[in-house]
Formats: sequence, C-alpha cells, structure tokens
Amino acid sequence: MTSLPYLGRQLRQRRVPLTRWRWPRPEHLREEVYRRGHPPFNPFPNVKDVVDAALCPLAIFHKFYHGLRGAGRGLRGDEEGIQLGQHYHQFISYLKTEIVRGKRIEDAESLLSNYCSSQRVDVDTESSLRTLLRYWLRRKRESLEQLYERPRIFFEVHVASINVTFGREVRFPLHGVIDEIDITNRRIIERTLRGREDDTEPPFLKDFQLWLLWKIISSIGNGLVREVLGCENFEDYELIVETPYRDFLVDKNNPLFNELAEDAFSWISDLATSNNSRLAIAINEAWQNRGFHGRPCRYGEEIKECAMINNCYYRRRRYPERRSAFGSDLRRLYYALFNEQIWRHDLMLYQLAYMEQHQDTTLQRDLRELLMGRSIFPASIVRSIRNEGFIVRIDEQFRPSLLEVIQDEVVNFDIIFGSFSAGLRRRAQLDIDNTYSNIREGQVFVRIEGPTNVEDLSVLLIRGSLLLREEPWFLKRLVQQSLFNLEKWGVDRDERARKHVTVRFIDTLFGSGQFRARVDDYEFHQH
Amino acid sequence: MIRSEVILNMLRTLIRDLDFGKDLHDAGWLPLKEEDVRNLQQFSFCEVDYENMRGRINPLSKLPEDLLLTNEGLIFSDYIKSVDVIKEVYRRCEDVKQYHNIIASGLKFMFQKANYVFWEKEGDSVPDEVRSLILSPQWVRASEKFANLLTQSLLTTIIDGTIGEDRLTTTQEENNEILKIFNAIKTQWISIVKYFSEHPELIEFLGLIWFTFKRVEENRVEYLGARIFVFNEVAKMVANKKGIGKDLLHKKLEEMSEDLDKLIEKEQWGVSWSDIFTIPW
Repeated sequence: MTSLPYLGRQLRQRRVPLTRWRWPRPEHLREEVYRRGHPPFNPFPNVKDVVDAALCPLAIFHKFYHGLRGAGRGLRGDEEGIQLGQHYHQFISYLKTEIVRGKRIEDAESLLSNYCSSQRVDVDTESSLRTLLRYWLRRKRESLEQLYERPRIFFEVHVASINVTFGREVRFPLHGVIDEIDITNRRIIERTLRGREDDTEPPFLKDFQLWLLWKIISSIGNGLVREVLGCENFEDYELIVETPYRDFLVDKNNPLFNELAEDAFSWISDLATSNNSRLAIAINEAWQNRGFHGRPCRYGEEIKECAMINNCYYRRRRYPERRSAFGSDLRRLYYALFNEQIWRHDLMLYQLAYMEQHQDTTLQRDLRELLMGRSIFPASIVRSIRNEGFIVRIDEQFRPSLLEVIQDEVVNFDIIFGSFSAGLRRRAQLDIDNTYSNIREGQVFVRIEGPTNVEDLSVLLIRGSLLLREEPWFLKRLVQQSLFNLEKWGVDRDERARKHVTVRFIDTLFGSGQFRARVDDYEFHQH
Repeated sequence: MIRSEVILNMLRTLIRDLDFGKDLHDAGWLPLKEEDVRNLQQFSFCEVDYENMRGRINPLSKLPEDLLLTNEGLIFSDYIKSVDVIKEVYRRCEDVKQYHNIIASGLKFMFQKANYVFWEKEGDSVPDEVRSLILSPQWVRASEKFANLLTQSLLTTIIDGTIGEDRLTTTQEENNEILKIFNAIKTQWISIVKYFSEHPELIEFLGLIWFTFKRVEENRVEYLGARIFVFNEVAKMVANKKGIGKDLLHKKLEEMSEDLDKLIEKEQWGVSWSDIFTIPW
C-alpha cells in the first residue's frame, strides 16, 4: 500500500542524480582545519529533511536559510495537532510498557488519566486523546494481549548511517528516529494521527518516511545494532504505518521511493552548496519546480499539507517600502547562519557516525579521543530506579571533565542507550543533588523521560538538551526565523508607517542616498 | 465588483502563469461564464476573448488602487515592474555604449555589495599593512573604495579593451593603503581578469544581472517569482547575444566559483573571489 500510487503528470523536472555526496574530509572530522566560510561538505540530513525535499524543493530552501521547521509539520495540522501527536505517541509507548509490566488492558483509560495529569495535558487535548485511544483500542486488543508474553519492543530508536543507498552505489548519510521496533513480531512501526477512518491509503508521504528509516537501519552493520536490538536482519521486517483507525503495510520494493529519495538528496545537496552561483541557480530551479511531483504548488492552489505555504506566498505589506533592498542584504546573513549550523551541528553528526561506522580504525580512534569527555561521556548503568530513572557510573577518565561541565552551567543531556548508530534516545536530566548521586565516585542519578527497558545497555551521555544540541547551533535557526519574519513584517496604513520607528529606520537605511542622515545635516542643526 | 472573486481569480491566474514562465502576452486567461463576461465589460483593465469565452487582466493597463492593494495586486505589480525593468534593459542594450555603461554600473554594484573575505593558509601570511587595514573598523568605508578600484581595473582591462570605450574616474583619490592591498593581490587579480577575458559572457551576465537587480530593488520588487523572472530574462538576453544556449550559460556560471577558487589555490593568502563574483537572488 502506498500514499503515492500514481504521481500523475510529472510537473517537477527530475533532478540529475548525484554521482557523489560531498563528505567531510578527515581533517575536518579531526578538527584540524579552522572552521570558516562555506563548509566544503554537505549537511547530515535527517529523515524529515528528505521528506520535506520530496514534498517540495522550496521547503528545504526555507528550512536551510530561513530556519523554518519542517514542511511536513503541515501534514499534521497546526501547533495543537503537533502536540496532540506527540502526546499520543508517548502515551501509546507508555501504555504498552505498563501492560508488559503487568497492567490490564482495561486500565488503559485510567492510565491515560495518569499520563495526562503527570504531563499536565489540558482538558481538550485529554479528551481528543481519549477519543483516539478508543479507536485504537478497538483494533488493538488482540495485539495488546500478546504483550503479556513480554515481547521485545523498543520505542524511539535513534538510527544513523553513512551508508544508505538507493539502488545505486552512491552512499548517503541519514539519521532519524523510529517510533517503534517490534522485534518479536518483526515489524517497524511509524505511528501518526493523520488520516481518516475511511482512508484506503497511508497518509501522504508517511510510507516514504518509514521506508527511509528502514533503509537506515538496514544499512547499519550488525555489530552496532546488536547491543540494543540483537542480531536481526531488518531486510525482512514488515513496515507498518499505524493511524488510530487502520494499519497500512508498506511495500518496501516500491521503485518510486528510490526515485524520490535520490531526487530529494540532489535538492538538498544543490541548495546547501558552498558555491554561490550554483545556489542562485538552484533557488531559481526550486521555484520553478515547487510542489510535489504531479501536484504542483501554485498561487491560490497550494499544497494544503505543506506548512510553508505562508512563507512562499506571504501576506504582503505596503511598508517598509525598501523591503526589497533590505531583504537582499539579509541574504548573506541567512547564508552565514546556515554555514554555522553545518560547521557545528552537522559536523558533529558526521563525527559520531564516522567514529562508529567508518572503515578506517585510526580515524575512528582519533574521533573517539576527540569527542569523549568533551561532547560525549560514556557511562554504564548501576541500577534502575523504577519510573524515575537510573543511577549511572561515568567512566573514570571522563569524570573530571563531566564535573567541570556540570559546575559550569545548568546542563541537560541526551542519553543514548546503545550506540549513536542504533540506540534508544531519551532526554535526560542529571540530578547531582539527589541522594543517589556521588559525583566524586562518578555516580550520577539520571532522570529519564519516556519508557525504558535498558538495564544491560551501555550509555552515552551527550551534552546539551534535546538530541545532539551539543552547542547552541539551534539558536542560529531562531535568528534566521526572526530575520525572515522581520523581512516579511510591515504595516499597511500610511499614517502608521510614517510614525513607525522600524519602518522609518529600514526605509532610511536601505533607501536612496537622499533619505540618509548626513553628518553635515546634523552639524547644521547643531548650530 | 472590483474586488470580486472573478477579478481576483483572473489576477491569480495571471500570477500562476507568470510564475510558471508563461509569456506575458499569453498569460492570465481564465474561462468565464457568460454573465461574468458581460460584467467585465465595464472594466477597462480587463480583456475579454468573446470567441473562447475567457477573460484576463490586461497586464498593460493600470489597475485601480483598490485592487492594487490586495495581495494579488501587489504581486501583479511586482511582475509588471519587473517586466518594465527588463524592457528598459533591453532598450538600453540596443545601444553599444549604453550596454557597456550598464555592465560597468552592475559590476560596480556587485563589488560594492560584495563580502570581502580574506584568507591565509598559515598564520601571518597576510602582510601586516594589509591585515591592519582589513581588520580595522575603517575597512567598512575603505572597502567601498576598494570596490571602485576593482571595477575600474576590471573594466579598463577587459571591457574597455574589447567592448567598451567609457572609463571610470581615475584612482587619484584612492588612498595609499587601498593601493597597497591592490598591489599585494595583483598577481591573483591578473589571473582573475585573464579568466574573465576568456569568458566575456560571464562578466557581461554578472554586470547585467547586478544592474537589473539594482533596478529591481529601486522599484521595490519583492516577490521571489518576479525576481526569478528577471534572472531568467537576463540569462536569456546574454545567451542570445553570445549565441550560446541558456543551459550552457547556467553551467558556466555554476562552474565559475570553483574556477575562481582554483585560480588562486597555490597562493598563500588572498581574497575569496568566489564570494565577490556572485549572482544575486
């Protein structure tokens, strides 16, 4: 089953498939080169970037340069819809975990109440969740009963690979988070709130998203997956897109997926280019190819599922009048901020992936020495404190640096159980004041969000809050967003524009010479 | 009626057609009902094709203020302003002297807007006098003079010798420090100039596109589609003039940044020329 049975007349010109991805060179990975200017390598995309680029090339342009969140967000509806989706997903994993621990299926609704009160979910969201849960339970009773046999199910599995291929020899890097891997029933699940009761196809592009995640996990060596997921051959796994109303089995051999992925990676590479002229031409081509294959996006006939409609065709304001010149000047800032994100965030993703997956063992060792104790802290689990978290012991050689980091600031960590390539990703808070913690002994109590079943796994603490925000690279995105909002911002009324400081400021600064304040004018008024 | 759905739909159709590169003369036709056709007769800014029962906004007419203030009206007027800029450029390009003036003016604008990034392979490669100037706050003002110097040098060496007669003002007012930088990078500059002498289509395109974008900014064109329309028209103009395909021109432009980087890769320090010879968007 596919959400893309027929693409229709191809209105988007097919991109020339890449012959090679621009990878960082060893000297970049080892940080032997000063980070400056355009990074000579491509970003390390996540699955959502690829889905966005498949949805529309302009979406990835806005994402890179205007710091906007994914176009795919629109597939879920508004901000409320996104929150609902997150709670829905978290609750299903919580419910399944509690059933494995012995709770009865009949307790599902009371567990929902517990969940909502612990997460401070508002009444409307709780009510929506309850309705959706009822739909879901109606179909899932039987499979939930199997949970009493303690199957091996993992939620929120982070996967990353530098060896993803799409039917050709060209390798691509890609990372993402799998909602659920059910080892016992050999299936990978992508859960979504999108879709309706009477749908006969999975929600738009959700099957492609799941297929990409499957491509990642299938391309990771067994040695890296084994610790968490065991010796599994994921090639044979079933791919299921699960809506509250129906499960859709995804055809893994759909040739369209390979085409979509190759096309999306070409756009990502072209729009992230370090070549200024190529970028201008790529933006030109992205504009002419906007929209999905066979579903062009046109003024007044936009793709409704795209969250970026308002950024391509935003409401125009009359003032400031010099917005065009102002926007041109902002472009170099957008570009510089994007470069910084790649140098900081994407390079680190490459470093972590190369550290585990690259064939050159010397490079692997160098990267481990570079990163351990600075950005990541290996640890082991001492004991689990039920429903709260874990006591972990930090490796001895990294204790002093962790101690320094903790004293420095209020630090949040991401915790990965297993490896960066395939591990369970959780948000963690290090509670050093807890009675279980003894920092001198390297023992720290870690509070974890979300269900865990990870007692025997190794642990990687990654500095920063949310995954891999080792340095505040995400603030650059906020700056990009703010600049773009300022570029779009304005007023319509003459009277207001004449008095508005910002409008006057922009028009003066970017206006023709006669508007500019001159020193001699100032001096004249002084006398 | 002016803001009626039919009229707004005709405006939207015109925008959609122009967005997809349709010629202005063929763009914007919308099939209409008989009643709508009758109603449209009262508006001078509408055109009706009675034979095919369709109508459109006449792109050459002046829209009423009320309609121009709608979002559709603003985008429409951006397109019309772009078309006017392109017409102006076409008209001025018919005269060789004016064509050269436009290129000179565009290149000057490009150099003024450029980001002068200096690099060095190892520490202390950049001469002290150069370093002290480019790291000083005065560089903001000095870079304007530097831009003038580059424009003049490029034009007198390439364009003046081959296609131009006009000269810019002399460098007598440039201060010594700027000349010191210029002299220090002279060898790489000579390679750059040589590169563009061998690829005149690139320098002509850069001059024209920067001039046109300057006009676009002066005319307050904001809509991305309208700016891309301008880009494509200029590319078409240069490609026709030089007798090469538009795709080939695009390919050469794409290769330009890398070619410029290669020209100076053996130098110990220098200016990032690929950040200077750029295409606006």
